[in-house]
Amino acid sequence: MLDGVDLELVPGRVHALLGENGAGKSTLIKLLSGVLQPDEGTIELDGEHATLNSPAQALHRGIATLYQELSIVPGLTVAENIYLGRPSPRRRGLGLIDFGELDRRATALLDRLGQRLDVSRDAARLTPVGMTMTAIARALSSQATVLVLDEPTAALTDAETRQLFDVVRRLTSEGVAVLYVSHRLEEVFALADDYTVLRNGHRVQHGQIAETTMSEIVAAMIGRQLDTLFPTRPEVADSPGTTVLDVQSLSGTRAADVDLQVAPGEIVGIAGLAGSGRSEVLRIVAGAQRATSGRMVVHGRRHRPRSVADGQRAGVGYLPQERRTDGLTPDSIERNINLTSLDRLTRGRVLTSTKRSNAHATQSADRIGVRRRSIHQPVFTLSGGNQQKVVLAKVLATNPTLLLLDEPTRGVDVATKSEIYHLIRERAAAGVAALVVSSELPELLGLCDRIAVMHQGNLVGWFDPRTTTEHELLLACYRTADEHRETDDIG
Amino acid sequence: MNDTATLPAPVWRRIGHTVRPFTGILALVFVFGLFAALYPDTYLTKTNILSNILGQVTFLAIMASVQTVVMVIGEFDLSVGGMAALATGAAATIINTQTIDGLPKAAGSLLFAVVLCLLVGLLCGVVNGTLVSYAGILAFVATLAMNEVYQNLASYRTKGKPVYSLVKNNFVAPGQGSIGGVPNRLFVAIGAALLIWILLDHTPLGRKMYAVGGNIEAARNSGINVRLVKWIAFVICGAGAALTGLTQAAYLGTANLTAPAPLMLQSIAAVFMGMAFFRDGRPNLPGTMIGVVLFRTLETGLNQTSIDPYLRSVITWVVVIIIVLPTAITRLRHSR
Repeated sequence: MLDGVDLELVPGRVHALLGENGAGKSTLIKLLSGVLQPDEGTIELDGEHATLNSPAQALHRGIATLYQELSIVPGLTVAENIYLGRPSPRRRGLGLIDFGELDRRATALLDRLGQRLDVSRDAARLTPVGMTMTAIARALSSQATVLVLDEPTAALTDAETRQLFDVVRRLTSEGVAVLYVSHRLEEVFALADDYTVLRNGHRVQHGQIAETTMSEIVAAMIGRQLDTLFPTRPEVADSPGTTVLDVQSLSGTRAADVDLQVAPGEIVGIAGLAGSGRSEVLRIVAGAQRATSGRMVVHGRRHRPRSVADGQRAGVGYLPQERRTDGLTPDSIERNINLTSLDRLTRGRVLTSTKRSNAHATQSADRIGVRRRSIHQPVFTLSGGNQQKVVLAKVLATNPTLLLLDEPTRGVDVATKSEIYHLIRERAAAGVAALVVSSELPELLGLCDRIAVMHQGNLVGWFDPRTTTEHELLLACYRTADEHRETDDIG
Repeated sequence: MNDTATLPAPVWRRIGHTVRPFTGILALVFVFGLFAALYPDTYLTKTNILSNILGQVTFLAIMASVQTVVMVIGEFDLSVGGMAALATGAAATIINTQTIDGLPKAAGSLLFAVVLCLLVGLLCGVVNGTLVSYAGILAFVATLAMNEVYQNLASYRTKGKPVYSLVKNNFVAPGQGSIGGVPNRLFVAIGAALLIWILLDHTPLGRKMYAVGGNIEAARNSGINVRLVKWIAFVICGAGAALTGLTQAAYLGTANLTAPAPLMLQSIAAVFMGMAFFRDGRPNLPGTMIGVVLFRTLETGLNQTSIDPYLRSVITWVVVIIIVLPTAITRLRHSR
């Protein structure tokens, strides 16, 4: 799926690798990191031909790759994680590991990144950015001259992202060449010097970031002008006080005293930092987690779901945050889509009807535009964007009247994002109420009718996306003193 | 990993992909062919094929079918031997025609004994399922411990002795009988396997089981009652273990409480071999059945040789390793 692509990394420069899902970015990364070997073409390091037959060999030659899902070993300390797979300092005599020296060396490596972490604590208890830093320090411990970062900010908040950028700049100033893969164009423009755009395995555009624009790159990525990323928002509906979801004083382990209402046809967003309780609200309404106190009403009925199945019976459709760990089973597209409809797709009430199952899955996949060879294709052979569509198709198959979507477009390419936005709006136009949690503020501003901001478990304000800037919303997420405003007119 | 973009697979891998579904059958044909060629006079006879190979398959086939159910949900049941012993022990002491101490006695109701046997199996399954699903104890620990409980309760009931002289009419006679040369007990196994195959591949419950075993969080978030699904799998396993023990007792005419014990590891091995044959390394009934037949074909074949009995076992279990090896290596390759 990669055809005659050239790529040049220069010491001290950040090179952005761009492209939609399935464009060939991952393949290119795998070639550089020794996971795959090229059919044709060569890789040169410092002007010398290099053969990379395994990840270990690539690392030995100075190419370190950080994957989207970071390989942090829980239960080991930060220092142990940094020295994972490499010889640790030994005590004289018995040859036991010298943990004091190990910690000192790990601290020194983190110092080079300008990071202060307690290297003797369990790495599993780090924040996402702490894990990223640990993984980068591990790369440095192997004297990497080329650092490949695959979607490093997917799990990071904006402040953490800036922290990561500082580290990347620090490394480039030391002469490290960085290949940066991200779906977030704003980040690319903030960080990268050079760029390469891939489409269908070909290099379609490359050059210096300073000499291009975002819309030019988006056009190159999708091969056409993206006319409307977001669907048009209807005028504020004057629904006479009807609500699909009414939440009062809801509390969980993080969320505290949350009040919110969603009307039919309305898309309500929840902004906030990771850990602010935004996902927990969705999980509680969905039935995936119990509330500790509070009152929920769905369609005028008291809502006390003890399971996701209970939630479904009340008309709730729940899209969990992580499709790989929480959304998909390692089976076919058909099996995944039909997972919420199994009890309906029967003949004689007992046996599963293959015919009806296939028809139902085909119909659901077509309606949502899952690009596939066959509905019996294993779901994990699809691109990230299409995997996400499969989870969505599964959720929509129950015809929910209340949609709870946690990061509906995480790790999804621009074109698919746009399709998902239109799909959500289409449902809303049909009277469905939607509650959307997202870390991407432009997404919330472009898609939603109202936005709630959560901070440390509390709902701290309501915003009208038509009159709010990303800057204002971000300040509210951090709850920077008196710089956020509460708009009473729509709350 | 977001992209599907991959390099075209090398030719050998593509061939491997096409051939893989047939490896089980091929291995079976190879093993059978080998012994048939070596011992055409004794191995290639109707009696040997029907009563030795297929007759021997019976008990393992039932046990492995229900073990497949538990392994589909991502667990093991190490107590199948104990459950079979306890269930048959309970039933056998009703329908024996002589007491444990060897004195003649009148046999009790056969129907009651059969129902009791299956009920005891179900109950053991309920205990296992509840411990794993609702008390949250690891299946490995729960079923390992309960296996000892069931096995020793059975021995307690029969004073540690086999229960001899089970009633002939309607029990031992049909258990040892055959229709047109095909042993009756084989029909029981085929029926049980068929039932489990329908359950796993053609009912909503079976699909839920695969979802629970594949990704328990995704299953939960899809509205599946994962605890109940797991619980049911263990209950089915208990009933199946009881049926295995009952069939075995009817065939032997004696309830030998240690007879089912080796079936535990063998059933797990059969499911693992089946995972290597079909459905991308997930437990599946057709694969399990090929695994079962392959295991027994190899065993009966080796029994015709002059190889030392201990070494026969060595060979059998090394073959198990060889069969699961390719899948293990592929999986290793895919995990980076």
